[in-house]
Amino acid sequence: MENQEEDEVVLAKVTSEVEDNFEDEGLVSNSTLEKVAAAKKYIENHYNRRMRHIQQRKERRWVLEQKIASLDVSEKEQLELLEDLQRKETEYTRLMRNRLCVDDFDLLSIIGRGAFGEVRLCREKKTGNIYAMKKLKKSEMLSRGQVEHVRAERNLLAEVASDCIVKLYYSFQDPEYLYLIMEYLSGGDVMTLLMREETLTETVARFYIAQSVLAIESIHKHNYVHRDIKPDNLLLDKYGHMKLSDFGLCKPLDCRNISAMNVNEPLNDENINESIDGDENCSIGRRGRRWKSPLEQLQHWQINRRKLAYSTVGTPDYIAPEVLLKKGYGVECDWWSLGAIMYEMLVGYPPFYSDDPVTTCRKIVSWRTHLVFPEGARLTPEARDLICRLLCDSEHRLGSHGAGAEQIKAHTWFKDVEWEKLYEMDAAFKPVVNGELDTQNFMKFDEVECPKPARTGSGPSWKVSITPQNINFVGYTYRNFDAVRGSRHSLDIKGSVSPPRSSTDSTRSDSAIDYTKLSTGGDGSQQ
Amino acid sequence: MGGFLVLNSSNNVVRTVPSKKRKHPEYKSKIRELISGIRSDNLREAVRLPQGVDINEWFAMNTVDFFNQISLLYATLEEFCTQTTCPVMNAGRYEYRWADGTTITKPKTVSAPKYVEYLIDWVETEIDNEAIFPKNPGEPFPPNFEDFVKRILRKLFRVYAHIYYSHFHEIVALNEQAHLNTCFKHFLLFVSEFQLVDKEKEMAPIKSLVETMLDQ
Repeated sequence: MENQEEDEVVLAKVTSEVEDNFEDEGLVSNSTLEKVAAAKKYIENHYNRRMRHIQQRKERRWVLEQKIASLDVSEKEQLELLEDLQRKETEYTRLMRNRLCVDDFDLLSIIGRGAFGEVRLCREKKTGNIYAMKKLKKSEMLSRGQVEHVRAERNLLAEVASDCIVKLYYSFQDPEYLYLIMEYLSGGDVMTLLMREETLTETVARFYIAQSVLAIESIHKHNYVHRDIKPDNLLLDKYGHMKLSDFGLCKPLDCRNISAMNVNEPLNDENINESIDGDENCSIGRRGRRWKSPLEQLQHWQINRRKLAYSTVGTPDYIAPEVLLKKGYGVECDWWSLGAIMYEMLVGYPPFYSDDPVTTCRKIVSWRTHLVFPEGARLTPEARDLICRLLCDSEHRLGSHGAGAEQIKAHTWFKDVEWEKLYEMDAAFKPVVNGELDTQNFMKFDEVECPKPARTGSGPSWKVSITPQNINFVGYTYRNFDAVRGSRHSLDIKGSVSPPRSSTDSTRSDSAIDYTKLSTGGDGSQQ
Repeated sequence: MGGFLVLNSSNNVVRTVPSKKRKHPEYKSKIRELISGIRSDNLREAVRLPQGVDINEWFAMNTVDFFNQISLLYATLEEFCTQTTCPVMNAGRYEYRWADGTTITKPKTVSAPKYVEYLIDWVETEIDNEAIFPKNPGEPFPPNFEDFVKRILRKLFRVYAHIYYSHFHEIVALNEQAHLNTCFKHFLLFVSEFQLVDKEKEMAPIKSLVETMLDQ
């Protein structure tokens, strides 16, 4: 192999002076500047990720060694456990270099559809593992300004390892779409559960609200605010345990007409803007404004619920007033959403429900006059108190001012909840699930024929033109160590023991390499 | 003073200010300053074979990474590195001729962009060949896998050598020298750690830069 290249390197008969072939007024194209931006972004992401992987690998080893030390296992078994981890590390290293693409999966039934794409069941060809594939159209996200939203979602799912959060196994892209390969939770969502049950008993509601508290707490610990917590995003596994996700595919409410709303503005017809960006298939237009009885509210809500969920507008029913008013908000906006969900679970419809989204928004903003409990609702004083302390001004809301989930967990309505055992106990409802491919707990969606993308791996290639569209999605690719399945000897190494962390491990850390120190003069010129 | 580029921030356009001759490549005069910020300890740790990981797997992953990096970095220079500006693939007095051992067995003189085009096509073919770079769990590497890796990395080094020798002023003008230096230093540490590229024979064209980077 060496010999055939012996004369590939030739000492040319040239002077040591290098000819400068620049034309007098050459200009650098925008295309080059875009390539530079993409290359820099890719390299920075790569080294951040590389340093994080080194630390995570050390942690996995450390945690396993601690667990082995605390268990009474033979030397042979200890060796087998360590060998299994090493095998997984090697396999993960292989996974890291493989270019994933949509062709690596068998695409099965669609289980969700939204403004930016769809979610479908899929099977990984080489392993047979079943996942949910979330497919997002790049051009749609760019035109609707959702690039940061989807990047935040990918980062959140990649960073948060929690029983309460849907697990992300892979993310990759092709020229047209972004793909998130997530765990498939076959129990459906809480929206479907509520539509089936109408209302829940406080005991059952407490179980789901408590699990929601843990899920929200886990994302807040990573400095993320969900902003769109609703029953559609609370998914159930086959055992009935709940995990937080965003299968609604980021259906943002068009709040252009709401941002200037005033809390004291009267709710009359002239003030209600009809131009909200509705879905033509979604009959949620303005209707009469007459007062509706709680029973009528419930019936109306049930009729319109699915249409709202799958419209491009989405439902604003769970959004906090400070988010609608764009006043600046923090993590406490998610606790408002939890209060709205709790109200719906116990009453049968959300607290500010109306025929059309703009009116709902106005009611939310004027929550002081519109938060009422119907006479027929049999809620304990503790339940009412918790709802009222979540559906209130952000200044006085439970969980605000850094008090966090602990303040909510301490509320008397939760007094008998064993927080540490929530995910070990039997769920309030066990969904009917017949096998890993069962989708009966999801709505049925028709297939829409679309051209199959060519096989293009997620790794960068100089031959793929780096368009402005693609620059926005550099560094989207991700592989989860948990995608590598352990052998029967495997131990769960996500234990409670926490290893010493180095500064490079911070999931929000900057590059391990300081790029600012490396540049020359500020104008980029060389003296 | 050598030719240099000025970044015009107001309209995002880079203008070239020509000079007729440059006595030596520009990277040489500023080597120490330009690479002073690289955190060597991090990169040295990044090249070490992790405990329990198969060495071939480690070679494979890093080879793919280095290929992706050099592909993206070279792509930023495509409008400067042309048939006209670089009619021969070289690093100063060292000319590189293309041969891949299969379709082109006799080394031939080609322009720098053509050489890189051949190289990238060839490396992609190698990486996509599952007999060389196995993809499925448990599939073994060929017994001579290290030879394939050496061959790829040796050719990738030549692209770095060409960039540093012929296009460093554009790199500085585009303000990506930090990124280039980091990638190259990582590459050097890796090939040195596992002796995958012959330092004396292959790295001679930019010997001073290589030594400075490795000594840091």
